[in-house]
Amino acid sequence: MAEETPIPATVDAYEQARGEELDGRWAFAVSWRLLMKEVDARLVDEGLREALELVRETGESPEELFGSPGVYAAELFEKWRSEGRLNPAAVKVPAARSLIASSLKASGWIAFIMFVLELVGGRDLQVGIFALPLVLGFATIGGVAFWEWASRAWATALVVSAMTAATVGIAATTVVVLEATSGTSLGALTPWLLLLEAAVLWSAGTVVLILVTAKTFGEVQDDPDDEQWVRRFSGVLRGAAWQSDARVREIVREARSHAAESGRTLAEEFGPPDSYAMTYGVDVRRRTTLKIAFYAVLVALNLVPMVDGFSWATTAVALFFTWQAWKEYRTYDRSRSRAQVAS
Amino acid sequence: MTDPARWPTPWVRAALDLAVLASLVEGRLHGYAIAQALAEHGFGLLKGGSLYPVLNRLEEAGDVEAAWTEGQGGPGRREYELTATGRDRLERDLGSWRELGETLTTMSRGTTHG
Repeated sequence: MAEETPIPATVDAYEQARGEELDGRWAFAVSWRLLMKEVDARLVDEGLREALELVRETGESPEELFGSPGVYAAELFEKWRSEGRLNPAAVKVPAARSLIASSLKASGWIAFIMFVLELVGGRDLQVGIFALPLVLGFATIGGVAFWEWASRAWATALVVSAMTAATVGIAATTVVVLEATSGTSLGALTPWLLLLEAAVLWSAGTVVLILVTAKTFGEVQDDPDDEQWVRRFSGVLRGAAWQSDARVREIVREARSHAAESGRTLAEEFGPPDSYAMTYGVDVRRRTTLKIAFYAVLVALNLVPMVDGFSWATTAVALFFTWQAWKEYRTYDRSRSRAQVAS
Repeated sequence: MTDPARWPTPWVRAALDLAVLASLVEGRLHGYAIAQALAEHGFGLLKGGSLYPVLNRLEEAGDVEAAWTEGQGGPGRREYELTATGRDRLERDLGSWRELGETLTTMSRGTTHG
């Protein structure tokens, strides 16, 4: 099981190729994404080595040549999938994982919202409150999935009745849990533990989602109709490529216009949606702006409680987010400088 | 359905940016019309998946500009037009291609080594 793979050596080779530590991090991120999709380690290494050759030849960064780690990993995955080189485990992932991933991410967001509310409201909450994000997240996503499945098979009245019963049951259980834990307040620690819970749940959801991506690729790539193609294509452009909604709409409109004139489907005209989306690359400027804005909001949220008095913990967290924002800007600035030199 | 190209694929790929720029010399065209113009000139009928990344790259470089025109009952078309930068690039790159051709011709005639 613990068979050694040459991936670490290849990652080191990336760092040495141009003397850039960032290149090694890029290679590591690509390998991590592919390994999480259960792609064979030797195949991952092969993909990394192919890219490394071009990095050495051109002297350009792997991000400039191949896009972000997410984009390149998805491109390799699709290529190997179409060549039939992936093991079955990498292609077939149970659908239940998709629900679990979405539920965990939803729970993470709910925990984060509760963290913000707790910071602003400053109420004293009991230990049982930590179960609430999980209950709400899984209930929401599970409810939607149940509705989608049951509404095709059952009469609407039956579906609504079942969902109402489930909602009442979940609410009653939650009340019992909260009652049982009344008087177990964690005091000032509560909001920070909620933030920690949010981070853990969201990260867990992301990890599971990476596994699920394999299934999505398998489902959509074979022979999507135009609407499936547009959904997947738009999703990749908005997600992995960080393109704006306006830009995505324009690209899709143009693709539809072209396909209408040629008389072919979008899949026939443009190929697999993921591969085509990747040709547009990542909107690095937009990604940087949004990430910095996100960190700025987190810093602001941390500074609000400081109105009541100085706190070293709050200051440390605010400084951490500021540092993250600065790192984002530095990465962007470096890639921009390299692009200017190249042109 | 797809016309075969007159030249090997790697050559077509290498000359594609220039061919797209050349197709716009006489005026603005939308994507599908560019594909047809390229096909008429022996580049094969390119699919959208090969053409639009090139157009996107040329647009980002400022070699072409694009604007929407409303279609009659259709989804509308995005028309591309050559910019001054694009014309300069076309002229410059065509010069380089000619030079390459001349070099290859000279080489193929052979040189006598004593």
